[in-house]
Amino acid sequence: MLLPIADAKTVRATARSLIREHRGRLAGVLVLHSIASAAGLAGPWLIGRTIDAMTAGTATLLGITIVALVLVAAYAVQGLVSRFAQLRAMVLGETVFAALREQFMHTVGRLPLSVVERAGTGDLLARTTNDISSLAQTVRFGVPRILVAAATALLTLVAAFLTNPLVALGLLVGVPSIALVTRWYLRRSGRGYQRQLAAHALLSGVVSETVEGARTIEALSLAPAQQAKIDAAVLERRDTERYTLGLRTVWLPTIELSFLVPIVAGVGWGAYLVWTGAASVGEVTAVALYGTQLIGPVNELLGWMDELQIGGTALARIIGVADVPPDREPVPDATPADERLEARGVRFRYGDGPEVLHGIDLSLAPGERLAIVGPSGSGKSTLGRLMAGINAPTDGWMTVGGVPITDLPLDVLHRHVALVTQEHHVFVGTIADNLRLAKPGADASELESALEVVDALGWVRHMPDGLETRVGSGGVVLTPAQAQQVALARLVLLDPHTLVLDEATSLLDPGAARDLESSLERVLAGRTVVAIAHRLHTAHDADRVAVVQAGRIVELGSHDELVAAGGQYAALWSSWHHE
Amino acid sequence: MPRFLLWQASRQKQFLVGGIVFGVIWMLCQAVWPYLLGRAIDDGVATASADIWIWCGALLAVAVVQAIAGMLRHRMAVKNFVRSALRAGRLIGHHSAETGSAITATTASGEIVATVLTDALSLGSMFDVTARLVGGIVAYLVVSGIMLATSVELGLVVLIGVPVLGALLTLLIRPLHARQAAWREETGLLTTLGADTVAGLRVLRGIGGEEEFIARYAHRSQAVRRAGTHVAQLQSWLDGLQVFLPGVFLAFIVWFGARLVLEGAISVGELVAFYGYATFLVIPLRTAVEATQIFARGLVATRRIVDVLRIRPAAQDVPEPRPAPEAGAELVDVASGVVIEPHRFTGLVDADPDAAAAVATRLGRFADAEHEEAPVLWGGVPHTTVPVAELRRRIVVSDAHPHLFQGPLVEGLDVKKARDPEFTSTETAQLRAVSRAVEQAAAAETVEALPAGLREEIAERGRSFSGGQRQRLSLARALLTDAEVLVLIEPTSALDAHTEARIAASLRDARAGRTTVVVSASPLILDRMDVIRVLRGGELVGSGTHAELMRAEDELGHLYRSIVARSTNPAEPVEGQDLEAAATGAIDTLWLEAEQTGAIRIVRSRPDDRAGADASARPGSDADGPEGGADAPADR
Repeated sequence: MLLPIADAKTVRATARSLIREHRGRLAGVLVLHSIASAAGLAGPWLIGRTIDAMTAGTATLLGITIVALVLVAAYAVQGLVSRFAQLRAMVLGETVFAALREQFMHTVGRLPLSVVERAGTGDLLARTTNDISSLAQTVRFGVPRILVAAATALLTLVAAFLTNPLVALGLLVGVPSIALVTRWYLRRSGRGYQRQLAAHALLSGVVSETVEGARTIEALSLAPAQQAKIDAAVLERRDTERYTLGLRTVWLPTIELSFLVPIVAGVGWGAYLVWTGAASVGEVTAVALYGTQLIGPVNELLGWMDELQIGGTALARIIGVADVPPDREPVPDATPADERLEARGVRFRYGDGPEVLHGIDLSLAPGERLAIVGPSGSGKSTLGRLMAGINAPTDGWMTVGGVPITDLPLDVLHRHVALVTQEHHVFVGTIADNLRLAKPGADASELESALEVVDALGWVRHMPDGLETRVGSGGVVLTPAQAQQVALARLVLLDPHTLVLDEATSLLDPGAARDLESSLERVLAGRTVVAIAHRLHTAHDADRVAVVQAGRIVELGSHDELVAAGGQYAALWSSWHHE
Repeated sequence: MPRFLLWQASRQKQFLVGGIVFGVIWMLCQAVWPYLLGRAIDDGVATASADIWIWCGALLAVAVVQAIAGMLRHRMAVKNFVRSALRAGRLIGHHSAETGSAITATTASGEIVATVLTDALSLGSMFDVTARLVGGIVAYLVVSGIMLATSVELGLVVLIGVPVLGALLTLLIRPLHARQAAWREETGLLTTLGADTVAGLRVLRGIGGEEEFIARYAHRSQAVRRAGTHVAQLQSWLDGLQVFLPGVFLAFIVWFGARLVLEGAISVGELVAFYGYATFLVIPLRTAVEATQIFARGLVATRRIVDVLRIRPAAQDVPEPRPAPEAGAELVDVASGVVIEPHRFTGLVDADPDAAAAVATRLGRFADAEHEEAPVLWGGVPHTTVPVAELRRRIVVSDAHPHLFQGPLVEGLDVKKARDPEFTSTETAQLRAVSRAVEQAAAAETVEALPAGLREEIAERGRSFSGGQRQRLSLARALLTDAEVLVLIEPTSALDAHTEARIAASLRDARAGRTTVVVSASPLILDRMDVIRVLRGGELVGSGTHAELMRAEDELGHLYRSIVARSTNPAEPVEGQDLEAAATGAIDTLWLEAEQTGAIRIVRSRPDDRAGADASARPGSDADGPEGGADAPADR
């Protein structure tokens, strides 16, 4: 299951709305840059005037000195104003970029629970790291530089026309070829750079799996194979670069010629105009110098076109995450009347798949332990996910205290029911940070008593900085058992009245951290527990057992009742006990 | 570090030289442009003579050469950049592959990934800018020469003025560099935080705390923004000065040149040429400033790369390695007292599973330093004294959390071929061997569910598989090593009992006659072992078979049962009973048995449903549904 990517229209609309949002500051930046650029145009104009004065024989040393001083003043103005323009532009870029990435993370943090459960994190991770940094270049430097270059180029052209419109016409000779070749180039470069980015992501993926799996590689002597894969990724990266370089091999010289030829044309055409008396030598000189000054900004402008495309692609992936439809619409004032979990006529299918549950009716008394028993594929795990509020039933009601469970806002849902899995991600941060996510604002004594419950206070106290010890990547590495105790302590802090245990994926696995059973038992104490049982003793210990077959509850009752009833559960039990 | 850079340079000599040559030509074309323009104005425009055509023609010719040289220079620059960046990235990847776990012991893996992405690029930029810088310096010298020929004073002003300007601008670079470093560090922290949040998103969405993390991210993000603004404040001064200082320089040259025109020493055209030269010189000047920045960053990046490359494997050959013992040698872990007899199946059991795993890991020799205290004797010889490569080939340890890697599944599993490129087997033979191992590891259904079967292209880290599927595929891979001694640490920890039973049964066939060590507390697995070493806190307490230990009335028996019973249950059947499925009460197995005896009729909800564990690729199946945050199946 892949996360959506925004279409071009949405990207453009986002860009437009960003511009609209910041139009005041953008306009300020543009005005400042225009002033700076205008000051920078004094040079050729002054040179032209000086030359005209010289050819006319009216030039004096004083005049020349004044020209030089004016020139210095002009550059001082240009330098100073452009400094502030640049600063404002860069600060704006930083602000916009910070807002974009925070908005992105905000969206990620609210991705529907069912999507997070199913989509995995690889794609999302790439968007959080690669795409955000691709966009950084565009937003932080691209946009400010584009503004400068555009303002400079436009003003330079205007100045050339003001000097002598007839001569300046010669400068336009290059426009058609620039337009044509750039169109040709941009049509291909977008795809080319996307492939290049993908190749880059592949390379980074392979290198990072090499680093993360270094132990496995060492143990199985897989280094040659892994190295071959790295080489292939490197080659792919190089080949994709080769393609875009090929495009630039055509594009760049054409552009460069399109800059230079018009200057030559301007000089030739200017010579004719001087000869006819329609222009002065100084004017021709000034226009030719303006032509030279155009090269820089226009070049920069064109150069950013690529970057804009790359940024656009990254932006599409970043804002695309927001297109994930919500899987529930919480009813804000939904307040469960009590802690009773109830299923009425619950049916469920994944997407367009076949129906997995065909009408489940079940009511849980608070504090009860229910074991769900059934063969593989009977739908018992799915039922568990529905009871934990991860998916909403396609039909029927799954309610807690009379309120449909998926109507509850997530933070409210968490306080009612939680799914216990083997998940033990340790977040980068302190142990306290890792616990507090279940109960923001909990004080140290609360955290300690939660750790006490799961029997983890001892080792936490022995850590170098106790609760404030940094863990996760780069910090102290917790053992799987410790990580799971932290996960259990989170549950204690979260304090939901109902827990859904998927045994196959939970702490009750054989082999996986056997020490944790007593910790778990203490977490379960006093709560309603739904255990998706994979072992019969779980069912034996439960208050009630529900036998699920082919998406239906076929038997329901206490262990003794079911054994006495002589149904499937009884057969199962007797086959175990060989009675 | 200089050696590393020189080595890099030597690997791309032709592109460096090409970059310099075309860079020089390109720069010279730009340098000669003002001269030709000046002549065109002098001899063509001002005098309205037909010479204009000559000068225009010359300008056109230079334009064509400049365009072509510019293009070639760009090609060389990109090649310089890409080659050195990719070579560095490749080197880090290769080095990580060879160094093993030592690489993550000293650096966070995220840091190395960042190293590959950004540091390699910074390194590449250095080589790119070097070529351009040399071109710029040559052009600067040529222009100075031309001006010296026209006017000694003016020439000297240019010759001295440009480096002085460069030095002035460079003064700002160091503080700027410090601010950029601060920004990069903040950015790195932000990226780590973002990646971490995403990796733990299932926890955050399932438990809560996302608000907290979003707030943390926003907080960091603002710190990055502030650091960026901090950079911008200085960067913008640098940009402003890059306009102002050359401007003053230019004004001086115009003033000086104009005086020369007044004195009749030079022509109007030459004045224009001077102006042109002065504006042109901004290009090499900017290149020089840019180069300083790139070098500052590049050198830091290079140091980080070299630091990573300096990390040595934790297990290395001693100067004069002893020959490894003959096949069939006994292994003795001295610290625990555990003896691994050849050709037999040995189970390792400890109340603390980590302690048993530590013993098993020691057999594989992953950190020589550790073995100074706790040697392992292999045929009587400390195994740290034999060649590592041979030890790795003969003793294979598959740890509790093995990784799968990107690439075609069959290649990833058939490690014999992956380890040794020389190893040859026909494709059918390979497929047959891999299929058999996959079957033995109870992973056949997982493979069958893949569109391309064994030829399926696996995503990086094998992230499209669930934890249980990954565990079974890793087991198949371990079996395919055909190692003389195979050590499996908790090979079935993520599997249900039914699958566990299947694996326990096939393991004996798969490893018949060879030495196999399994760390597990599962009675299904332990029942298949020839001997079980029971440990307490990592020290051997006693040995026996599963059946013996289950019956033994002594302390050893009690200890053993207390460990194994935890994965069984209070309602355990009486001792001595058939322990297969009954011991664990695995519902899937019981159900199958009950069905076979006719006690239960199983109604299947979907025709394609299979009993057992392997329906797990589909959501809603029970066997070993999605597991692990970053590990969750992604590509359904």
